[in-house]
Amino acid sequence: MPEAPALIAEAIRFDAVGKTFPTRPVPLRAVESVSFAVRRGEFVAILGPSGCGKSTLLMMAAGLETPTEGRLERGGVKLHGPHRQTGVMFQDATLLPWLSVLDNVLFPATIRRIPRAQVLEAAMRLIETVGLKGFEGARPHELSGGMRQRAAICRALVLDPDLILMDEPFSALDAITRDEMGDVLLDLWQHTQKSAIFVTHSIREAVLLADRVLVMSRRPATVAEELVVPFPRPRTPALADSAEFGAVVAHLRGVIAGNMA
Amino acid sequence: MSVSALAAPARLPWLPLLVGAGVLLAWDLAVRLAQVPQVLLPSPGSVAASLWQAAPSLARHALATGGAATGAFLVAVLAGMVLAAVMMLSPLLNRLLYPNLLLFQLLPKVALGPLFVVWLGIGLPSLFAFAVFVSIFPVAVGTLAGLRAADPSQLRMCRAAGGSEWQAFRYIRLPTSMPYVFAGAKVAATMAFTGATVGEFISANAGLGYMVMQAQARSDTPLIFAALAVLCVLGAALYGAVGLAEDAARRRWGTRR
Amino acid sequence: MKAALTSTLAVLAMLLGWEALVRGRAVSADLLAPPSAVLEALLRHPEILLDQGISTARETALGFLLACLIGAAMGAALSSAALLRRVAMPWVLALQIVPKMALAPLFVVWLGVGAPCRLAFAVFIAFFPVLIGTTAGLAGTDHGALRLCRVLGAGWWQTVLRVRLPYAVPHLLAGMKTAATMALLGVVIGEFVTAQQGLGYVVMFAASLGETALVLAAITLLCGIGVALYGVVLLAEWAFARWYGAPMPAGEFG
Ligand SMILES: Nc1ncnc2c1ncn2[C@@H]1O[C@H](COP(=O)(O)OP(=O)(O)OP(=O)(O)O)[C@@H](O)[C@H]1O
Ligand SMILES: [Mg+2]
Repeated sequence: MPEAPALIAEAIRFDAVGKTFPTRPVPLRAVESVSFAVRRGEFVAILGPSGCGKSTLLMMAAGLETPTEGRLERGGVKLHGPHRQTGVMFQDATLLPWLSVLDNVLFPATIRRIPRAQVLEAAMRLIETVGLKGFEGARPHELSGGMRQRAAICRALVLDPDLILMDEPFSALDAITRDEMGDVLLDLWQHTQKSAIFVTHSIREAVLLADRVLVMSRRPATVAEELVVPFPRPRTPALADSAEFGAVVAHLRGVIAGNMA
Repeated sequence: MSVSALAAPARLPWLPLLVGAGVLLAWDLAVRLAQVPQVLLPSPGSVAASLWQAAPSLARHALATGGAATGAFLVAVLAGMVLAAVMMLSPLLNRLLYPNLLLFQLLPKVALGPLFVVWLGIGLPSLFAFAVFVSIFPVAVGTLAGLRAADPSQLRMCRAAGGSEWQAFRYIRLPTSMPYVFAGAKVAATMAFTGATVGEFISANAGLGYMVMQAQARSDTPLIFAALAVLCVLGAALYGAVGLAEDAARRRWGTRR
Repeated sequence: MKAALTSTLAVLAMLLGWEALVRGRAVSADLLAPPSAVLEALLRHPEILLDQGISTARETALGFLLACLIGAAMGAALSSAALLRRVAMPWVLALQIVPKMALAPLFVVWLGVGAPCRLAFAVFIAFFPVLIGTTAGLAGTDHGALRLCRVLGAGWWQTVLRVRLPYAVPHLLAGMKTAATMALLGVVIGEFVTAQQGLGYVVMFAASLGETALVLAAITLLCGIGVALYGVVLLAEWAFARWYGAPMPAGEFG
């Protein structure tokens, strides 16, 4: 990444952002006056009760929904519409069934009309990092759920975005695969200093991966609590077995329980 | 977006009806202003007049066609279901018949119409047999698909509870097959009228198809329109009756689609 | 494979039994010409049958193509315009529950007794399954894939070409299979009511003379045309499945 806009230290900034859906008979207030910023290279995890508006928040960050109040800034500029430098991952991999793994990973380049040769190397490197080497030519239906989600990670990263938005990317996976995927992400983040917003229901995932955890209130979502994760990087999966880690997780669980009551 | 969505409209589709009325009006105006010859496109008014004038003979011919089609439809539904059930219960028959049944779906069965006339002569028997012939296939294929659509885990559950093959058929396969049977029956309703009318086109001495051919020979286009309109209403009525029967069956046995 | 063998054997046995019945004078050959007589009729009138067969085949193929184009265009239009859908869809659906094959005489009134009449009628009969296939296909696109396209800032054309179309093709092909059968049916009924040319005319003409052998010979050729056209669609489906390389999202439908 060229460090030209060094003045802007924030990848994305929410300024009193609110969202009301024009549902009938009563409009639905999903997000209420949310303000926070993600610094460059910072990994922010969002925890919150189901249905509180986390996905809505992320959709606004992705430019797929427009805020009804407040202001969203991306790299210092007001955001409108999907941003070229943003990668997005959803709950399911949504690979196109007729494309090979490699073609799926390269799909963003196809859409943006970037010559294949220009991104092929990066794609292959990513595929190797997430452990899909040898499956470049396979079709999605030949992969396990975890492998598909690995391919989706590669696709989100292939154009080297500076911000990644992830909405419960591993919640469709079984517990063991899920932990494995967390380790894959952790591993990826040791090399790439990207900003990220990561929505999850797993406190362990949040604490292991994030620099900062935001706990949302019930709907309409506001930031109820904020916790800076006190573990230095680089982290390893072994961190999750330590007593300090357990203490932080327990603390967060208490916060969430108190918040829900 | 299925055809059956029409059978029980949740509320009056006023927009399409409005547009339909508009089209009718435009048609009438266009015919008057552009002076389209009656032979090509009669105005709605002259069709209505023809409908009124020819009402007695239209009714008589409608009864002939409607009776033949409805009777053929009932026979086809019964026979088609029995055929499917027999094929379901006898693997040998199934192996012998099923591929041929599918093949028959591909063929222009209606082309066999003249043959029925050779066999059974001009008149009701050949017409009836032909209408049964063209409408039995959708029922048989639909029922068979429905009987096979039973959830394997439900069948296993039934067997585990000590149920016999027959009980599995009665309590699991039959209820699951209902929507399929009705889907087949709806196609059959339309096909029965198609068969009856096409049979009358080929050769007949009564019926709406016969009337249409007569009117065509006299270039009486308003009468053609009138007879076809009656035919469409009859066909839609039988279709609608199947839809009502389906609703009733669903309420009675509580099957979902 | 084994199933195919059994049913082929069944058909052969049926043909032999039929032949035997007629030879043994249990059934009159005038009522039901035996397979040997059908074969003989095929060989005896090759030019008539070939000429009329080519006419029918040409009109069927053309009618099928037009039905596919028109059906797909209408389906795409109905899918993209909600107002049009609300106005027109109930009428298109209503047309399906009336016995529309009986409307053939109208086409004679409008278009005369030539090929245009039969073509128009075949299109009228066959476009609907393609229309439904197209609407179902365009509606059947995976929502996640569409969201992905929006995230990537894909344009309308790119979304259609790269995502919507591949999801739609299996539905479209299923509709085309039905349309293939319907187009032939339309042409044959057209030949019945125009009574000018084609195998349908041969069937009717020969039946009026009591020539069942010729009737069955013409019907055999009709079956050949039907199976051939269906086979072309199957081939297209096979080619698409090979390129697609994954279990296809769409099933068959009536
Ligand atoms: N397009 C929409 N129109 C109307 N209401 C919506 C829309 N999208 C979301 N909502 C509503 O907004 C609220 C928040 O939804 P959202 O998907 O953001 O929750 P969430 O926090 O992601 O929940 P979960 O943890 O279950 O994924 C819900 O009540 C939902 O019904
Ligand atoms: Mg969500």
